[in-house]
Amino acid sequence: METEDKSWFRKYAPWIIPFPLCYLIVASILYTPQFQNTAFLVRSWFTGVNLTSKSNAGGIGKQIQTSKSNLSALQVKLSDLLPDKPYIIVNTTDNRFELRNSKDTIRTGVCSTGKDVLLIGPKGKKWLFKTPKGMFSVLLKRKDAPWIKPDWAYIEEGVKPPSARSEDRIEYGSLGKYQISIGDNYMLHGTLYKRFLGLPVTHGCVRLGDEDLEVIFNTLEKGSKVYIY
Amino acid sequence: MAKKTLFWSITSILILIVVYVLTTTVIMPVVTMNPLQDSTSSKVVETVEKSAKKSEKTEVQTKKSSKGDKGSKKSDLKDQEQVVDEKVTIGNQEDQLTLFELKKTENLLRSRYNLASEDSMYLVLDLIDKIACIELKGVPLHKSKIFDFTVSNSIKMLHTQQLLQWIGQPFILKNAISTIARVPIAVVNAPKDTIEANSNTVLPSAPVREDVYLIMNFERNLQLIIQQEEISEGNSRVDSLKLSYKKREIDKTIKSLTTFKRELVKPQIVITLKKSDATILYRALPLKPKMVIRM
Repeated sequence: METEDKSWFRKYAPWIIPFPLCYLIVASILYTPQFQNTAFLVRSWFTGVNLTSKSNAGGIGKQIQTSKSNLSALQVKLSDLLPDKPYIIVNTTDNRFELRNSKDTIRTGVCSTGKDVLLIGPKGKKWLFKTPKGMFSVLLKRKDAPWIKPDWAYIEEGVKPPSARSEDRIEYGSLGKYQISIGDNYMLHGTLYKRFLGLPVTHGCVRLGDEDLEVIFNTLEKGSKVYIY
Repeated sequence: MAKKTLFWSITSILILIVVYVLTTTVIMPVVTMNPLQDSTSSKVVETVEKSAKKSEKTEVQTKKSSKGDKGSKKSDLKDQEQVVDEKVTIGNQEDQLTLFELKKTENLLRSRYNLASEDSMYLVLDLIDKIACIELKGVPLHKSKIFDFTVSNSIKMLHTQQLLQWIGQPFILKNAISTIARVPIAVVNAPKDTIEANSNTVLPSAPVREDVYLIMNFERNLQLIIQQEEISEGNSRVDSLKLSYKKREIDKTIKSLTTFKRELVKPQIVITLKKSDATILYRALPLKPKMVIRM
């Protein structure tokens, strides 16, 4: 009985390795995305390209015409989306701005945006110093406006903030010569710290150099778009 | 005897599996699918060129045959008819390719127009002009040059109609893993007094640019991988991310091998951008951004 077993083993031994191997290959093709991806390539060796279909042939001219007219209509619609007035784009990662009109770039340069800091006050109150992203509009343009220091400006310096209507809060010159308000107390304004332009140092506003700010102030109108990304 | 029966039954099961695999992966797709590859356009051009040469030859032949007898004229006429038939077919091929390209562009513009009505930024991946563009309300905000890209075979082999359907609608991000933080927020406790505030003062410096490697999984199983063009600065973050991702994939594969549950094919696009562009792109886009592709 034992010798019979041995002979059977000798006879079928060469099949022992190919069987699991075969299973692995087959299963791999079936169950792994990598092999399936290769299978797509194998498919292409067998498949020709047959783009023609006689039933469609008659209508193709019309379809092309329709598609072309749709395309031109869509292109017009998309170009209509571009603002008519000059607009500004602010890049918060590189701290750069680009002033554009409907056709060209008018001016590019450095700016400073939010420093991405979460300040936790003594009573657990939190302030996030981050420039908001999205599309905004110029709501207000002002010249030589003072800065009404908010609470966080004092807390950051380790000082107790004065009362809300205190005159101590009014500070002249900090915001530069021009201020462009875009809503929610965010502004495009000048700075005393020109050496930090190009770095993320602000509390959320966009700081600009004097010359850039003047050009931007004179170019943007009330309602002009401000894109921040 | 029983062992022999067992052996042959296993063999026949394996043969059945092989036949099934061949049928599902090669035979059935060959019968039913009609893939359009990048190379197809060149193939079509080749056939058009060949047909043009053929028609030139037949023109020469007809000129020659006009001098010959009537019998030969008849045979030439048959040839001409055949050529005319071929021209119609080839014209259709060209028309179909034109229509396909037009439809693709139309779908892209329509998607962009629809996305422009939303308040979020979206990504336009143009693999033809090699540009990745962030747009908002139809306004291109930032254009990044794509230095290199690869598209997996599963996308290349898609049927024309299937490809149109697949890329026709914007892709919505499901999840993403990356080597950089989306919003690198630093938490600071307010100083107790001016002395502490002054001692904490640090001069601001340019933020350090970390190596970028992004894996973005979109709906419809699309995977977009963004890698940097610059050589990694000995930073093991990219390698560890790649390794952990590979491990996860291997685990999935083993699981599917053991549970017999087939993994869906993951069409993949890998693009190479400048490190700064990749960072901008990742940080500018919202948590669940939408993406349209031109290919």
